[in-house]
Amino acid sequence: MNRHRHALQLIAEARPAVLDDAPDRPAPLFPGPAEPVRPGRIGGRRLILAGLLPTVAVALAVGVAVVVSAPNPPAGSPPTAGSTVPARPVTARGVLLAAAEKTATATAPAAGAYWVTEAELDHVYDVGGYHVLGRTEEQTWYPLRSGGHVVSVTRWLGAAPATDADKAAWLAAGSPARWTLTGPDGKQSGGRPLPAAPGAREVTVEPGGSGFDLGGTPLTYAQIRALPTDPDKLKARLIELDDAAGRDGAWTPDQIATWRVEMLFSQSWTLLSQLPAPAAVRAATYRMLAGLPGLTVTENVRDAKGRTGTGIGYAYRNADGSSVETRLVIDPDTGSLLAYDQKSDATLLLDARFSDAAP
Amino acid sequence: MTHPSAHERFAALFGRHHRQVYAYAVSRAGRDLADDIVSDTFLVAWRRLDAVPDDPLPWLLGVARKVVLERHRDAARQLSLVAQASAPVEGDVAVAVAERAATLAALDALGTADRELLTLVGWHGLAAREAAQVVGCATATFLVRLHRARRRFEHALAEQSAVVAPSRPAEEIRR
Repeated sequence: MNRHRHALQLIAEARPAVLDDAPDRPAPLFPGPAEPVRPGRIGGRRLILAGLLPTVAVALAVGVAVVVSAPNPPAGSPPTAGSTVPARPVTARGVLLAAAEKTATATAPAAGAYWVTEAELDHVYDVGGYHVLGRTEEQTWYPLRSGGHVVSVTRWLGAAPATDADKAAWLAAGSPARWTLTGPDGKQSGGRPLPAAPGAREVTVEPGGSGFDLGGTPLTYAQIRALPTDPDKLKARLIELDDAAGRDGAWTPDQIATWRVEMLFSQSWTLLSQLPAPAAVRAATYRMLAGLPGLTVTENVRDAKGRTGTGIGYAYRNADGSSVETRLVIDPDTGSLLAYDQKSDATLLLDARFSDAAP
Repeated sequence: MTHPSAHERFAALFGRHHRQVYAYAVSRAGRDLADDIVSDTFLVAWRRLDAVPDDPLPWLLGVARKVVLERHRDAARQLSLVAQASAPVEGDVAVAVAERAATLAALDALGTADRELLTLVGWHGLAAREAAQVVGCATATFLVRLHRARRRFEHALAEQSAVVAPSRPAEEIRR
């Protein structure tokens, strides 16, 4: 029976009661002064998320809805004068190789002191009886020279009923302006509030390090620039990094093969969305992906920002034989990556650029 | 000079969150060290009260994490969650007890890094973005790491279940 349950749910249920044995006690009195409290830091709206809780893991493809699997261009698209529109490739391999071509010819942006990424993180929350879609924007500044700090600026953009049916349920519930999330124990009593209104900006500074990471291995900007531009060599390098990170226990060759396909699919997302990889490395990433087995293609996928792209899907297998569909959404016109979605989470890439201006 | 409201603010912070920091400390380094880790964490919070963000929990757990890494690394490495968990209460369903024991044993079989990610989400109720803040990486990086940790957990659990239930057909215990 336990084979049929989600790993994180099993873990949540095995939470030892001893974790909650904290003694009741007053706040300790420490010697020495606290830092002066700046007014204005207090009372700001708290940014609250409870994504990835096993209890809210609803099987919804969020933020990315399949509009239509149309063989023809959408009715509203402008006709191309004087030339024949080439047939769009409809295999995952074709889409990825075309994206590689577009990427390889992209003009190299000027480097700067920082690599800046902007993304929107969407999550569907189960608020008891219906679902709401919560959105957070996140801007991250990675220092390209040593000695800098990784700075993240996040802001809760608010939440709203996820679908028309959810909206009807929300209206029937009296249109609440905030919800209570289900807690880790599966009960609402332990849950945290989820406000419908947007929140304040929050800044996090992580001192030291580049912040770049590939498969658990920290990389410098120079190491990222030196990644292989040949798809086979890139694949070998990723496998080498992954093997170095280690695997516990005994694995059969079949299990290792499956693991590696999943790992390469995951690392492609990191390479294409987070790292300041040169165009040739990004193109090699698409070409490497094109060689992976088990990819699916969905045309005319629209993300929460209304952008249309082509979905390249991969189904991760769970221990129970069920699977989790994960999808990269690629803009077929530019070859750039638009979004990544998995179950109730979606990440929409809004911008990635070099910048000389400090955060 | 200490601001008059600093003590009140600190007391409120402690009252709201010391249980959560304790739970985190037990899950990382065990019961015996949990009180020390809570004290050390809130000492940092007191000294740096102005740096505590509006949503303090990820920040506090990030501090607790550094305390564990700096002072209790060996305890964290040697921690057995199976040994930490109390004996099953009478009346618990035997299947559920066995399942929980297998889950904890599988977590024990993982490296500390994997175990940390899985329990941050599974036991401490943090969203990916918050958990990423605790371990000091980007959210997307955290999701990828969590995914890998989950794979390794499932693998460890399959091996664990093979030990617990040797009669199970091979296909079922295969990950």
